[in-house]
Amino acid sequence: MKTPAILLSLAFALPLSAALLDSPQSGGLKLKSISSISFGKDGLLLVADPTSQSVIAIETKETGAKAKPGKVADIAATIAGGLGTTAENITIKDMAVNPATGTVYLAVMRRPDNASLIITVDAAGKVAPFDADKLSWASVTLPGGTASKVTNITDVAFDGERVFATGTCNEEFASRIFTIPVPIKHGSTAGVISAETYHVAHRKWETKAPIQSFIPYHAKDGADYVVGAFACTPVAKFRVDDIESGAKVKGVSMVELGSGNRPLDLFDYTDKSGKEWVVVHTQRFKADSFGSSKFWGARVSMDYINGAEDKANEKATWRDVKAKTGPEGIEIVDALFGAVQVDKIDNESAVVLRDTEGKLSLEVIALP
Amino acid sequence: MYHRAADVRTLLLFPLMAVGSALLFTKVSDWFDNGPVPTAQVTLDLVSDGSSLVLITRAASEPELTVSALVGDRGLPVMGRVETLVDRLKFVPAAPLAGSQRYCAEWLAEDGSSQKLEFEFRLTPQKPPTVRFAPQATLPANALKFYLRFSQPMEQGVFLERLRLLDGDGKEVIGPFRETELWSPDGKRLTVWVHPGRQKAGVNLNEDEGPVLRANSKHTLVVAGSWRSTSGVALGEDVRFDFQVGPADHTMPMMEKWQITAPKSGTREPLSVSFDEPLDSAMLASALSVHRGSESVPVEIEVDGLDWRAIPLQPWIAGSYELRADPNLEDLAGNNLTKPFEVDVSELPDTKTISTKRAFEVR
Repeated sequence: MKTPAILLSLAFALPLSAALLDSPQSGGLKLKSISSISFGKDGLLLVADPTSQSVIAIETKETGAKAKPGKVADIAATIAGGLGTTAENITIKDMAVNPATGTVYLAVMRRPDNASLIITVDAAGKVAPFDADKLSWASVTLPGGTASKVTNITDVAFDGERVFATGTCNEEFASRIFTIPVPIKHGSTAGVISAETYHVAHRKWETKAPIQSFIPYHAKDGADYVVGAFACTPVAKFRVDDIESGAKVKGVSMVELGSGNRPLDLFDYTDKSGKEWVVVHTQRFKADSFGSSKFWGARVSMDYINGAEDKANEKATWRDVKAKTGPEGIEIVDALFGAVQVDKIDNESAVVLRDTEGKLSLEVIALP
Repeated sequence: MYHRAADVRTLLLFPLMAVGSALLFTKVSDWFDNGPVPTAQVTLDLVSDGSSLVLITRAASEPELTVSALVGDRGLPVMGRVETLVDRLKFVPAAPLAGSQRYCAEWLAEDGSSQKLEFEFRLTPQKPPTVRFAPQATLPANALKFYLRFSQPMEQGVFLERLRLLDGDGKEVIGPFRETELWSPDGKRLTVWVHPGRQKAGVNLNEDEGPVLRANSKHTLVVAGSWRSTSGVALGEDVRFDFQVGPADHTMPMMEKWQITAPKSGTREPLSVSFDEPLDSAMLASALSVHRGSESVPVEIEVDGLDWRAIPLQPWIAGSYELRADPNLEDLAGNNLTKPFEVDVSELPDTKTISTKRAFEVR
């Protein structure tokens, strides 16, 4: 039978779901450690494993109806029970929501053996181990310096075209941004960019302080950025389109949230009025003046991030540290007090791990 | 009541096998009071690292195997995956079974009867770990980091609770360390960063809280004896390290000031380098290299903070050599070969004075 040429050309023209992994492995994944997790599209889970100096991408194949996660009281005790130990031997190192389903993924470490694994929480609040035994995955090495290896991976994220990771070498304390092209090729080595940033609080350019947490951001000027937060606490953007591996990128500090803070998580969202925000969740050296906890967060209008460079670095906007809001477009988010981990579910809600008198509960909060 | 734990026949019915170096302590007891006497033979095959256990027995097609951790009088189901094969049940826990913990496996046998097996998982006993402090030198008042070197991999996630810094009066310094936890890949070396926000001049924390280290004063680091190795053995007693703090160091190490002692040709004498100030001992392990022309010379390295020695694998050949340094090599205050730690990068020092290579002759 003669196949109609038009049908063939139609078949090739159909948008196929592009492969996210190249030369993936199947089964046999062993995570040595986990410092950070996040999600890409189509349920792609990214895991930063500092002990093996690598980022591992796992196709979870978790899709389906989206639902908000159920509340779990004293979640560390629940996890500990399932791992044959007690809550004081459990650390939840990071948390990420699968945007496709709303399922919460937790990076968990058990003491004293430092066993690292991922636990999920579904809409019914069911806590279960994530089993990658039959899933496809790919591992990419992060290159170190000549004198030391990358052993501190602070964050990892997917911008739709590339995977970014941030970190430092153990000894050198030099800030780096790693880039991994998609499809993510198993056994490959990431590109590396050295980052240099103006630290507003002490008015100096620095190459050493690591980006603690970041988001990829496609800005209104059409360029691709990594928007990152640093300890003490500038929020800066790094232009990363068309940048070659081995290059240096100069960050542009747009906002200063005040000294004595350590950023833990960053995410962006659009509120009901269509206004874009970046939420910076941090831990203070001392309890904040406006809440009962050292853990607090603020939302910053993306207008600041999109601002002109004449409002950057030395002229960056300072948060009014003596007020709950201000200047306009910078506001403390009350629901984040006491949250030790946070991630966005959608534009209306986020999930937090809240510490109440030493017990961690997983709950959903409304975004302002 | 018939107590089957005391029944020797039961023990014979359940021969147990410990694999590898794990010590397996089992107790076949507490059978269901009203259940049938187990008739199936069972062998428990437990992998030494606790990563899986196999019950070799003929089980029901849906055996409903559960493994519980016994805590007090409760059994907490262990998270994991069950694989059912023809003559065995395999349980793969989500994390390896925890050491020094009692467990209970329950399943349905081929005849549908409930089966239950209690056992304790213990890791091979280990000696208590030990710890050393590096560098063995006077620290500058603006020291950026130090290292703790343990004899065994240690539990992570607790270092801030396990370390206390005391000032010269024995008073505890509050919030002295950066929260980021940095272990070497083998889990034995911890890099402890002195809080940079307090060490850098002009930063709020420095102004509000003061620096962590005081110049010209003795300090003490106390490592809690409760800190456990990954095998669960604690250090034992608290370990105290006294160290002296000198003036702040804002100058870069200069390669031009290093003393290089060249070896004799035809020997495997070490190439010796003495530094102008103590350098980061962890970085020194790989930051210096020896070259002859375009070729790297294979050497074994011996290092401490002030001296570095390179022993060639083959005797030295007479000729010109070059010692090359990684520009990121740092002193104890984070000043590296190309810039001081605290610097406005727009005011970098004159690059003409920076050197990362030194020539030497072997005669």
